[in-house]
Amino acid sequence: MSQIPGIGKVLIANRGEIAVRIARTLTRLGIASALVAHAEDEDSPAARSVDEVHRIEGTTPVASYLDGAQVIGIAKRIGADAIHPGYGFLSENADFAEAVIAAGLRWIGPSPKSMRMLGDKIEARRFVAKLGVPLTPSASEEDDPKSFPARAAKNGFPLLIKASAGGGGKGMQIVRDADALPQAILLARSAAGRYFKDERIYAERYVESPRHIEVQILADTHGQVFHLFERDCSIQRRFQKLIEETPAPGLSPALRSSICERAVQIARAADYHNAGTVEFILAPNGEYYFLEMNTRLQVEHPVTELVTGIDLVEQQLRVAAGEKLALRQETIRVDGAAIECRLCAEDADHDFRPATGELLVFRPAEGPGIRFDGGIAEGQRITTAFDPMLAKLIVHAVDRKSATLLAIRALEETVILGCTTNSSFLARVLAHPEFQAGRVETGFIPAHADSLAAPPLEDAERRVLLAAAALSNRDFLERVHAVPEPFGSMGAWRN
Amino acid sequence: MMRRIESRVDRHAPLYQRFRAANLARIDEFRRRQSDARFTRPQRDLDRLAHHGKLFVRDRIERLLDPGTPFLELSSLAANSEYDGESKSASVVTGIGIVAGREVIVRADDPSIKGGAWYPLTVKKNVRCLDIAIENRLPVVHMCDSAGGFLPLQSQLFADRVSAGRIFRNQSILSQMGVPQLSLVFGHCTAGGAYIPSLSDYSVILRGNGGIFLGGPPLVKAATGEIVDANTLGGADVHTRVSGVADYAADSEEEAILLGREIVAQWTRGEKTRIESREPEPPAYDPAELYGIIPDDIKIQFDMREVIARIVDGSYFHEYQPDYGTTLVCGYAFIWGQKVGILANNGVLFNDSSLKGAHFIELCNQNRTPLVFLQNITGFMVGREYEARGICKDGAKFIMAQSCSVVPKFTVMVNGSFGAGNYGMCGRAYDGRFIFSWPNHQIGIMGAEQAANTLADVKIRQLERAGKTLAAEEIEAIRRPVLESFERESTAYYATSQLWDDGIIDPVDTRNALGIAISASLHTPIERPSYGVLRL
Amino acid sequence: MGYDFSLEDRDARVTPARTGAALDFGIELEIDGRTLRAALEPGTSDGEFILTLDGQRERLFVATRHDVHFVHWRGRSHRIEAWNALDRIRQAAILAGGAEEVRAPMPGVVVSVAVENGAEVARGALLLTIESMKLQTAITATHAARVTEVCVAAGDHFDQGSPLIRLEALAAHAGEERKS
Repeated sequence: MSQIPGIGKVLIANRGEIAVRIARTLTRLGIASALVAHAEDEDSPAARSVDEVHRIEGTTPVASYLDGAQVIGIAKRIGADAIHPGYGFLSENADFAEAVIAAGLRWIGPSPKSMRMLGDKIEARRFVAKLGVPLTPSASEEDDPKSFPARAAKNGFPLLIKASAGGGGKGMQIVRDADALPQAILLARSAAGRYFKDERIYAERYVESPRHIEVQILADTHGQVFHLFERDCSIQRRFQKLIEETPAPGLSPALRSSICERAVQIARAADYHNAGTVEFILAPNGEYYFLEMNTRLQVEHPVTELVTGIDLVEQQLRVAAGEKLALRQETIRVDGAAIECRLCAEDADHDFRPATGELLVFRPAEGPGIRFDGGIAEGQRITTAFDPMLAKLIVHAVDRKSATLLAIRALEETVILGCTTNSSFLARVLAHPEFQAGRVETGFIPAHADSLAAPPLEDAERRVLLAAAALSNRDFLERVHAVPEPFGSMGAWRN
Repeated sequence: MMRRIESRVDRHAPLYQRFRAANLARIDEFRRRQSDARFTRPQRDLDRLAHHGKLFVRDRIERLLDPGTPFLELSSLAANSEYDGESKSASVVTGIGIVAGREVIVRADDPSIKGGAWYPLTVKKNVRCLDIAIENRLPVVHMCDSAGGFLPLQSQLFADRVSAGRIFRNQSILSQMGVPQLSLVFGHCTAGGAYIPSLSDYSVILRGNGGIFLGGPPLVKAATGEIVDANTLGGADVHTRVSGVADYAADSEEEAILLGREIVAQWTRGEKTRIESREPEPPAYDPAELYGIIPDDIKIQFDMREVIARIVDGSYFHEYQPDYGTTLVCGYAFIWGQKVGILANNGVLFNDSSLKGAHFIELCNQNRTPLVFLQNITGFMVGREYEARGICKDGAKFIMAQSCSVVPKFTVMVNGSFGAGNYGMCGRAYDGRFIFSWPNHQIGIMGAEQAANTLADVKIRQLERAGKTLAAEEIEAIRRPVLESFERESTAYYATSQLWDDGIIDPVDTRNALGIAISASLHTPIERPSYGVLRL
Repeated sequence: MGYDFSLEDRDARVTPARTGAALDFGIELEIDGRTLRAALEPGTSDGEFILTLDGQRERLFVATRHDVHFVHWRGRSHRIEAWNALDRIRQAAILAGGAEEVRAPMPGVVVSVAVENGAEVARGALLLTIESMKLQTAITATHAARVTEVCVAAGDHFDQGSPLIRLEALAAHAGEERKS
């Protein structure tokens, strides 16, 4: 029996680890869970963690998950009360949210109106500027494309050029001097068109050695807005987050509350409800700038859940059901520290290029303080059809130091064979003295590339690995065993 | 269920030390000669090999064999006493080894000696190699790289029963028996040599260096006036694409060898003859002690049980008739887990020892137990008493029982092998599967000393009939050349040069050599025993 | 002759030797010139093994897919590729040799040509289609290559052995492909 009146069945319009994650809360709350799944995912752990699986089709697996009409059709047909979009795919598509609501279903997310406003980087910046929130000096192309290069340059170098409609670091470029600007604009424009079907770009001052600090927001339809403190997501590669933690190391209480209150201010002003994240750039001098607001559940939400003890998906459901959240800002507390590591199918030793394969052995680490959010299972093929993230390892401990050590141990104990992953790279980041000292910034990985590189194997280590491989090689063994007696026992004897 | 031989060897005894020193010197000489035969080549020949990008014959073999497996090289010192020592190992390397898990015999031409040309003893060694293949049903891998017959000596290698033609006859018989052969053609196979790959079930030919033709370009030009280069005439592409003379082409020797290994891996392994067997274990006594056991003088007697104790598994030996015919030690033992019946000389063969030997051979035949002969024999006993007791017919029984044996036979020339003792104890004429000799081995119709004395005696008696006598120095003048020629021609080196055996081995290698030989012999079924008419 | 494995972009030769008789069966491995006695026994869970190398025990996880071995040891995962020596030697020869001529396997007529001069093709890519005795045959690339010359055009008749297309081996994908 559902513990949330009005929501008896939820259709999850996603896949992988987040689908598993959402289903877990649905099950706990007695809500029936349904999942849309492409043929490739029909036997996935996500499919196995829900009550119903419904096939969706499309020209590609990704396209099928982006087909909103099909998803809504399924939701109606199966009698779902609400749709949870997870992150990615349809989660930030305001038109889809609108269609869901128009179809008489509950949308587990903010209103389409705030999605639209906050989803557009330029519009969002204009909005928060009016609130007096600090912004990096910037220029937008659409104001006047002709003068854009000059206006961009006026902000001072280095500049960051990105797509107005973009996210996830796609098509972002750093320009260090005026000479490189025209070329960068061209490239950014074509990338924006390619990734987002929207060529508009904008430029902003690039803050050197910045940290990425974001604040988790939870707001209901009764005007309550809470923050669940910050997360530091500075460890990134190719502008994509790799390691996230909370609390952000070395933040003074004053700065922390300043940032968190700014986030609440923005959400409140935008009449925001449901879960959201306000992202900031924090400069080394303690100044911070608004970056963007994400109108959905974040990949890295579990670190917040672990330190606050609040199930964010449950809160999302309650907001969607129109409940008044039974929370008080004063009672939301941070207990210890949590770190999330994104385990990705990629080769960190070769420029993080995506890796493919088949999961032959998957043994996640276990133990107190270790949470594994994954949607993978042995036997699964890892292709480039979806995001390279395989699973998230989240640890929770009394303090940052213990959490770091626990994360390293858990990474080392996690066995993933059959596909190259960034597991040991993550462990090297965590073990890096600069990381342990809390000196993180978004350029951490390139800045410490040399000391983060995989140490070459010692000869003795090579021998262990080669011996294990040789003794597992069927052909090799067959040929050893094929040698008849007494020849085999004589070895390489010569007369 | 056997008992361990109790050794009486005292490693500290002066005699042991003296023998050991002498035998180590013999081993040094053997290893020096062997290393010379294997590796010493004129720089000019090595340069030519390198120029053609050819691997040395031994490197070819090493690459062919399964890694970490043994190779029993046969007759490594063949032809050492002929052709001024030019034809090292008789210009061909043969041996038994493992390729793709299969026991095979390898026959590899050595192009670093006169372009791999066949001397008369090369032909003899090739024929012997294929005889071994036939007798033991061993698949053959040929590594062909020979200029053809050595023309200056053609009369000695061409026309006779076991001359070059026998090679191709043996290849045909092998194929008829269903024993596969593979040829890896690394160089030219001209004239008769062309039949080696042609008569093989499988062949790989190297692009560039490889060539197969009945007549090479010079001969073609002389015969028909046609001018053609070797590659167009009989290169890899012609034979693998057009003529079908060869099956696979390879771009390098290494590739050809890998391909060869893959081909051998396709061969069905036959059922081996089952004999009694047990888990192998090394001898309880150190085989290196053999050096202190074998005397430095052929006239000094020693107990063959001490030798057996250092060859057989765990030094376990079940001795048959321990108190009868004691100059012939007979009994059962295991060598590398394979059960054998051993006959070993502990003195001259008397009537009783001959009868014991004949009886034990019959037992082994009924028992399907291979025979191992350890020779140290001066012959059958002579003299009035023994003739009267019928040593001739007792010796004949021994020879007949041995000749008619159906179980595989192996002989080790541990020391002397003289007179009819050689016959009874399965000398070369008796088609034992393998004969190995130790470096101290001596062989002859009789000892050098006896021969010289016998010839001198005949001369003295002739002269006495004419009423003359010989002075001591005149007798010495008769004796010395006989002594010298006997001494030279009765050495292990001379014997192995003539291929009277399958190679000299270091005594400590005897167990492995026999282990491989016995294993190889079991590819051939053992028939029901039967005998001729025994003179009783 | 050993077996080739590559680890961290470095090749290694591993040569096995058996030791002891059947009761005392063991394998000795010569790895880059060092000889070690080695044994691999299953551990307590799936994919887990105990490797004993010269008496030292190592707990590790091993999984194999075709010729690739994945080994998780001391917190790190490694990928070791096994090579068939013959394949490797042939691949090296193709790369070293460079040029190759694809010749007609039988007389016939060209139905269609799928590539043009200068095109880079992957292994298995269709080069052209020919017809002979009412049967169509696809001629494909046996390795990654660049087309240096297309010798025929659609409709052309040819004899057995005539050159159809000339290729130049490409190193770039050759290794990649094997790894996929």
